[in-house]
Amino acid sequence: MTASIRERMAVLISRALNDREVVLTGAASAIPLAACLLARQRHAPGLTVLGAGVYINPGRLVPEFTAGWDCHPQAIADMSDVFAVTELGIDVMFYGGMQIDRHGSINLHQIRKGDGIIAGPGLANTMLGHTARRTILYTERHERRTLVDAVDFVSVVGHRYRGRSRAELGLPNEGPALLVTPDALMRPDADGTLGVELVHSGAAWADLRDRTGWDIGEAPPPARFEISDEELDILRRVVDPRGLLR
Amino acid sequence: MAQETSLAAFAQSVGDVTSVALGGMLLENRPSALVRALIRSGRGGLFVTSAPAGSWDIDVLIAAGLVKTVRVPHVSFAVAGTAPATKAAKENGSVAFDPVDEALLLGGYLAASAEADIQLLDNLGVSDFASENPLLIKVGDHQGVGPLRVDLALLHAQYGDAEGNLVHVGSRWADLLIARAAKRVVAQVDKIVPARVTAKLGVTVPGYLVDEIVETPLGAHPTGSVGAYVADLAHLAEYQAAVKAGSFSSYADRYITPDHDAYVAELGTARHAALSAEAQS
Repeated sequence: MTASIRERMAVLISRALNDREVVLTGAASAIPLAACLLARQRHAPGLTVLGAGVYINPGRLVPEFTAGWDCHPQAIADMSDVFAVTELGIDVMFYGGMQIDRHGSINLHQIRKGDGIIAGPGLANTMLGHTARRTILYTERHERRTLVDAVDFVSVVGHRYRGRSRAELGLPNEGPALLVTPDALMRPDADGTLGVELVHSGAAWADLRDRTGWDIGEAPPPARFEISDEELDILRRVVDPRGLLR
Repeated sequence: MAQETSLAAFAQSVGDVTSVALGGMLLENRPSALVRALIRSGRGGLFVTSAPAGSWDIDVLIAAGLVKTVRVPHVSFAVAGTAPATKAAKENGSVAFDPVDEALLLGGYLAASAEADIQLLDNLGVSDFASENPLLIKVGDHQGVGPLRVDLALLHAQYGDAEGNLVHVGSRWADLLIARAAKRVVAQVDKIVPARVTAKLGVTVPGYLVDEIVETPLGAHPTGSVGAYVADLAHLAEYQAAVKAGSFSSYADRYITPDHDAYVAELGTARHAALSAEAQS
């Protein structure tokens, strides 16, 4: 069996989640949600998943998460709970972005275009970017217009903001711990710049460099990606029997 | 105690409302039938707010030219794509969009429900959104947001009773917070049931917060109603295409001008059955 791009991304994210952590996915977040459900089935049975913040430990993937489908949650909360848990902090928050930059800052608000803007949808929960212990970034587009050197608008700050580090800004917690794209897994270096730890798509390094908005180095990393039969079997048989990630 | 009403009576009673909060979240539990009635009322110049994520309901009010200001952090059709009128209004500046995230929005509802001058928000951090945000109030070493009160709240729930008690099958999202912050609350429900049934199911918004209730089967369409029907992604695509092509008036003639019975009939029983089957899968 060959895993699809979205299945590979879900597997990579699942491996970054730990048992007994509390994680929150956004509303339209099939890949992180699949990752969470896979982690609960394998190595993190005590993981608590706040689906769209309110659907606690969803039992299944659904075509659209906040659109009337029943995700079979263990419990249901509301937005006052989400407000409280945002203030209190959790372990992991997932973010995507119209733009994601070298330091892991994300932009969901607006992109400059000539004298005007291209408007984004906006972002509901920005605070978990620093009240969560760490964030996990993902995008389904590994291309220069998404992976930019510096975002046009900082919706959630990554490892640097206007030249200052998270520590200098007084931001607690880790910030972006990894970025998963359709081609690569990236982690921040000591300076907070995202570098490629793993290429999981088979893309040529020159091609990947060309599609990344910052310098990712001359040579690819040696690490190889392998997905186990067990991971793919659980993903397809238990987590995603409808094949939404395929 | 709530009064049972009709969509026509609601449209005639909108009056001089200037601010509206819409219940539900993203593509779920949006009070779409009431939004269509609000558009038929012709009331414009509206301040529109919601739970932290809105979709078709906010977009169609913008497309109809009835919105002056939006205070909603995220507006999209989720996997179905862009909210076309909202995107265009942001880009051409025809509608004002308050710079809020979830905490600033919900903090406003919390301050209103507590009759407080401020809800503290000391964890906003730094970003282009949070830095020097005009909605922030500074009090000594602290910061926060003032109360967000609205003239009118429109909610959708799966069940309700004649007393106005509501039952949400999925999350009630911010509906309770919104109801506490509104002068007038009008709720649409898929089905009105006896009070003994709502009590047994578990009331999620108490009737003393609800002024009027109306039964609207398929009333959240084209968004979903948990357990009853899912969002109609094909209809949302049809709406997006109409707005992008500059033919919103044709969409409105077909889907907004008619009353709710005609709207449901226009959709057809086969589509209704398919959306319901998905919700119950």
